Parts: sequence; C-alpha cells; structure tokens
Amino acid sequence: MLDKKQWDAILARVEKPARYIGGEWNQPPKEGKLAVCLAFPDVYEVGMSHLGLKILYHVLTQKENVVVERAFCPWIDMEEEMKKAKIPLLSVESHRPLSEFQIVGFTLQYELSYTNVLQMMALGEIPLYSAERTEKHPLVIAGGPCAFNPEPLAPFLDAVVLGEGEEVMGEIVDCYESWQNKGASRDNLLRSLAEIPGVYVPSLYKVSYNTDGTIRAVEPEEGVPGTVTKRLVDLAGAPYPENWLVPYTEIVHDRVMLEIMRGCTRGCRFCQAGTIYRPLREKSQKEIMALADKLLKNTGYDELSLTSLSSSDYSRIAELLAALVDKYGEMGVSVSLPSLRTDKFAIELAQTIEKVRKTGLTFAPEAGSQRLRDVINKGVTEEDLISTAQAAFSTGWRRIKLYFMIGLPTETDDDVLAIAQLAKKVLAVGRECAGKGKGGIQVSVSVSSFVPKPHTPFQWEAQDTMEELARKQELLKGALAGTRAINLAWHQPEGSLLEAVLSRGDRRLAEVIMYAWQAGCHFDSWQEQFSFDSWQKAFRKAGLDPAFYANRKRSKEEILPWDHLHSGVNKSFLWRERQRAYSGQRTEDCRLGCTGCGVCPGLGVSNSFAQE
Amino acid sequence: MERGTRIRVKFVKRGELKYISHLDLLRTMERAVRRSGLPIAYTEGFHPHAKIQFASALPVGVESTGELMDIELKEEFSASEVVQRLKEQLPKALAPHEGAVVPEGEGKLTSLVQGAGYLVRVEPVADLAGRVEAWLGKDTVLWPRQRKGKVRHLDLRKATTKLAACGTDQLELFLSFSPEATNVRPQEVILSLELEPLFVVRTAIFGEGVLLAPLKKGKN
Repeated sequence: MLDKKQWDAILARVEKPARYIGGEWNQPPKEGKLAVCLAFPDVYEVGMSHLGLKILYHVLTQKENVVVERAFCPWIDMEEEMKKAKIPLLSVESHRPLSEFQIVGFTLQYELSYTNVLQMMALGEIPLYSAERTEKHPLVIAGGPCAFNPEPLAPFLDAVVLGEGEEVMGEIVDCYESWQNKGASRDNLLRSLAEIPGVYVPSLYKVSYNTDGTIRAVEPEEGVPGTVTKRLVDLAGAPYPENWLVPYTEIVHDRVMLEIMRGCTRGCRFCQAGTIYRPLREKSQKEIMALADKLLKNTGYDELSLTSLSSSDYSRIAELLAALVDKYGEMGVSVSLPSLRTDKFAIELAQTIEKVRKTGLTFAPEAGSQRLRDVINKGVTEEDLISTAQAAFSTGWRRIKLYFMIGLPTETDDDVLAIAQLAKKVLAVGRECAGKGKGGIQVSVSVSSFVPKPHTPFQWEAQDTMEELARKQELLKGALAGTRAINLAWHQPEGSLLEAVLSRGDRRLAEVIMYAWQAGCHFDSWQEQFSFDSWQKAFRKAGLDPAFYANRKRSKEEILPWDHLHSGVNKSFLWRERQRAYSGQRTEDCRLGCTGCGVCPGLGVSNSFAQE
Repeated sequence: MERGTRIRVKFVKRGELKYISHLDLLRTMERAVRRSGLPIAYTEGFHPHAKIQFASALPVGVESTGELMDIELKEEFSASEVVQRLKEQLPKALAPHEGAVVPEGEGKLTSLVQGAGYLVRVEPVADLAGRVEAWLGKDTVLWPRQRKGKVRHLDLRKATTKLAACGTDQLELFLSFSPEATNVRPQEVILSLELEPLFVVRTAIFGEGVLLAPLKKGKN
C-alpha cells in the first residue's frame, strides 16, 4: 500500500506534481477484474496528447469486466524520489504498481522512446525480458507505428499489435481471460495470442544471420503464421470517445482532437504513415459534427482540432470547416487544422478558421529543388508554394514556416542550397505583398535529417553519415547567413542517426538498448537527457556498428528484419516506387487512379470518401 | 452589458488538487463553466477569455476551505443555481459550496482582497510559542526568492499581520496582500521559523465585499 504521507511529501518536492495526481474529469467508474494498463513511454503531457491512447482507453472502458488505467514515465526528479522511497511505478488512476496489472500495453510512437519502455518496466518491477516473465507477471504488449518493425524490442515484448487497435484490443483481452480461466501455461497464452490476426509474438520466430550480419532467415515455430498482416477498422462508426479525460495541467495538445479521416493517398516516398495507414477512410460530415458536439460539451474545451495525416485533403473540408465555425464560433470555440496543403485552397480554409487572429502558417515542401521533390514524390511545385505564400501574405499573414529534410536519396549540394533559395523567394514575396512600412515578415525554415523508414520506398536506402549531415547543415547555414528575417532550426544529427538505427534494426539491437538503458539512457528524445556517448559505448559493448544499420544501402534481395510483418503494401510496389524515385518519376495521388500498392485487393478494402 | 450577473462563488481546493497551479485552476474552472452550459461572458478582442476572476493565487501545495472567484454571466441567474450547476461539473476536491450575486458597483475581486488566513501544521516543537514570539519581535525578516536566476528579498515580517502558536504543532498565520508583499507564501514564513510545513490550509480571504471575511484590524 502506498504511504499517503510519504507520497504527499514527494509531490510537494517534485517539479510538476500535477503530472502524477490523476483524478481528471470524466474518469470512468472502475469495476472489473481484469486490469489493463495503457503505458505511454514519455511524460504525462506528451502521453495525454496522444489520440490513440484516448481511443484505446475508451474502447477498454466500454468492455465489461475490464478496468483500464494509465501510466507514464516519471520525469527524472520524480524517478529519483520514487527510487529513494522504494515506490514502484504506479498507474495514474488507482496508484497501483505496474506489476499488479494483468496486461500492460505500451505504445511505440518514436524510436527514441525505447529506453523509456525498459525504464517503465523496471520501475514497475516487471522482469524486462519476455522469457523471464511467468504466469504471475503482466502480459506486456505493444502497438503503434514503430510496431511495424518492433525487432529491436523483440525480446522484451510478449506480443505486438500491427495496425489499428480498436478491435484487436478486445480480442486480446478475451484471449487473456479465457486463458486465465483455463489456468494454462504462459506458453499457451502466447500461442493463443499468435492466432489472433494482426498479433505478432516475437518469441515464436527464430531469426538467423549470415556472416556479414544480414538476416539469413526468419522462421516461425510450427503452427505459427509466417507473415503477420496489420489490422484495419472500418472508420465509419468505429469506436470514438464522446468524452475524455480533461487534464488539470496543460498538455501538449490541450484541445479536442477530432479524427476526420485515416490514411493518405499522396504517396510521399519517405513517409511511413502514408503506407501503414492505408487505405484512405474519411468519416462522414454528420458523424464528425455529432462527435464535435458531444466532445465540446463533455470536456468544456474551447478548441477543436481536425486531425488526420493531411486534413485539407478531406473531400468535404470546406463545408465541414464552415459548418463548425458557424455552429461554434459564437461560443468562443476555435477550430484548427494541424497541417495545410500547399495551395491557394488551403489559404481559403485558413481564412475560414482564422478570421481574426492571423498567426503563422506552416507548409512542408520537404525538399528545396523540383528535381528532389519529384524524387520523393512530394507533389508540390515552386509555383504552388510561391502562389500560396502570396495568397497568405496578401491576406494578412506575417509568418510562414517551412519544413524541409536534408539527406534525402540522390541529394546534391545544389539541392541543399535550393532550400535557402526557396526560403529567400518566399521572403521576397512576403515583403512585396506587405509593402513598405508594414514589415515584420518572418520565414522560419525547419530542417530535419532524413531517416529511412521500414515499409517505405526508401527502406533500402543509406542514411547520410553524421559528418555529411553536419556538413550540409553548415552549407545551408552559410547560404542563409545574414538574412535575419529567415530563421533556421535543425535537428542534431546524433539523434537522427540513432533513430535510423532503431527504426530499421534487428533483434540484436535489443542488447544495445539494454546496455544504453543500464548506462542511464532514457528520455532520449529530450535533448538535455540524450547521451550519444552512452549509446556509442553500448554499441561497442554489444559489438555492433551503428553504420551497419543506418548508413548501409540494402540490396533488393536482402531479407529485411520486418519482411514478415505486412502493412498490406507489397514489397514489389515499394521497390518499383524506389526505382521511379531514382529516375525522377512522379506517381500520382491514388485518388486519381490506382497505383497498385496492393492494400485494397490484399486486405479487401478500398478508399472511402465522406458523405454528407 | 445587458442585464448580466456577476456571481461570486466560494469553493474548496483540497487533497491532491492542491498541487495544480493557479493557471491550471483557471483552465479547469473555465472548462467546468463551459460544461455547465452557463452563459459565460467573454472579453472582447483577438483572444477572447471567459470572464472569470479569482481573489488571489493560492500557492501550489496549499489547500483551501474557501477560495473565491467571480463569474460574469450574460444572463441573470440565482447564485444557488450557479453553485449547483458548477458543483455537477467539478470534482469534490474543488467543490463550490456558497455563492452570492455581487451587487452592482462593487469593484473587481482582486481590488477587494486585503489578506488571507492560514492554518499550518508542523512537527511538534516544545517551545513553539517562544519561537513565534522571538520571530514577531524582529523588525524585518528578509527571505530570498529565486526567479529566473534573480534573487529578490521579501520582507516576511512586514507581510505578516498575525502569527500565533496553537499547541506545539500548529500555527495560525495571517498574511496581508499589501502591494509590496502581495505574494509572500505561507510556506516561506514557516521555513523562516526553521520549521517544516507539513500541511497548510487557507482558511479565509479577508477584504471588504460579498463573501469576503472582514479583516480584523491591528498588527500583533
């Protein structure tokens, strides 16, 4: 039992105590024997902003006999306090130790959170390796985008969910319950789980390696499927919370997030989300309006964000925005779109929602030159961007933010310098539109380093070395030096390297993650906590070379660590797209005609567009 | 504004909710009012804000039996209905329990408050009364407060209008909100007595106006 007095004294000392107190509005009544903990491997403010967590929390709340709670990674100060007081990691709701749950489910949103998964299990007194856990320990499962290559975490996880969790989560709980009633062995549970479509049980697959370090074979045990295919839900009428926990303390996305569609048809070649969430499914405008009403009423939020991978592509977006602004504008509710397409239509949309306050607009051309934008299949032309900027600046916007990547396949120094040229053109357009004396035009250029991701046409590519990325950053800095109205932000190459290693890694990296964590690495995505030095030592200790994973070009024949995990998009399509990238050929948006990726026929689905 | 109402609501801040900041409380109350469906008034301008005003920020970690806020509504409402509707939208630890219509012409809540009373529990000390007496005998008690790397010295003595020991482990403390000492925290006074505050609760907010506790004049 938690000593309340001691806990209170700890809360009084830590930096943000509201992270740990729970008790948020709309907490469902707790009843049921089977306790599931949804664990987000980052701090409260980040985890609470995640839509997937809200959806799964809702789904499990609806399920009879199940109690669902949450756990987040305690920040460094709290971690020290809890260790000193010998308090294990507790759930937010009932303050129960992680080890007392029947199922603990982690979401894998980004690679640099992997050490936090170990951290949370360790603080929660759960044996880290799946093989060390017994019938008495929780079942540890994971899902999320990184689950499409969970191999670096394979020995730590009992089961991994590929794709959308709304339905399969319930199936896993049912499977667990019937196993519990049978009183069978843990092996029996894992085997039963592997029979559920979309559930991957890493321990039931044996991976062998060639002498050069590449994979020789991935062999499933007898009776276990050779390939696991992702799960999909029909988004129309799919479970979506009508109310959710309203945090006391400010979280990153502190608003109603309303998912209007899933999937994207654009086919940008670097984008993993564009592959793994296929096909495109739009919710009906009616359903969205009804959910908006309930969510605003039940939470009391005054901000609504229409979320998806590319919200301005929603086929009825103009009608939807107008209807929302019309209905809720008077009540002081603001509506926002997380990302904008680069065209004049997007500016019209932005005008609908920002009638009064014109803050900044963000666009993502991703590459500086037309040649390179064709390579990555980003269907944005320079005219698009310039005319969009023109429309934005002449209707009153003052700040434009542009997202780019460096280190893309086939990139030359000219392509890098083209980023600076493009930013300068946008600035010039802004100054022209603003006229004299109006000033204050700002262009922000945010440059990240390209990380090749599994299940994309660039999954075979080599990442630029850190030295090369640093050189390109310098090149760009030089080209923008002296232009004060353009500010440049970039990512540290060390973090991008690690991300590249882990995203396309194999099972042997589990040892590296373990060593890094043992050396104190966690919260790696927090710049001030990231210790590249400790990671380098961990690689050396495990006898593995990060360059093998990050900076090596794979051959077409190589068995990739995630080849047995199927997103529905065929490997042959990805290779074809890669070839087209190298010849600078664009591939159309699949709304305009099937591009043959294989998802629709393979999974028996199709793109579906919004009704009224 | 046409026939609106300003309602003053008294509410508690208890348990672990003492750990939410003033800004958190503001957001929480605004959302509760919105959920209640009460027609709250908004400020004009680019960035409209709900017209909710608090008497004084309660330091993080301090509980309260009677915080005050003014809520401006676009229509007329009885205080009891407002209290009832807010109660339905708030956790027990922030429950409102009293309300009153603020008479026309009464100033802003922040301009009415003059000080606050606290009750503090500490580890038992044999001569608590003696220690208090010695502290009160000083002309000034300067206390360093760090903020963004800068150190500012607050005069705790000047801000303290009453300090009294109750037995060996409790203290009663009144702090004035005079402009130069507005934000002295009760914990700071206790620490300056070389005591560790175990539990602090605000028991009253003093001032002249509806629902405010009348201030007992005189320094002890």
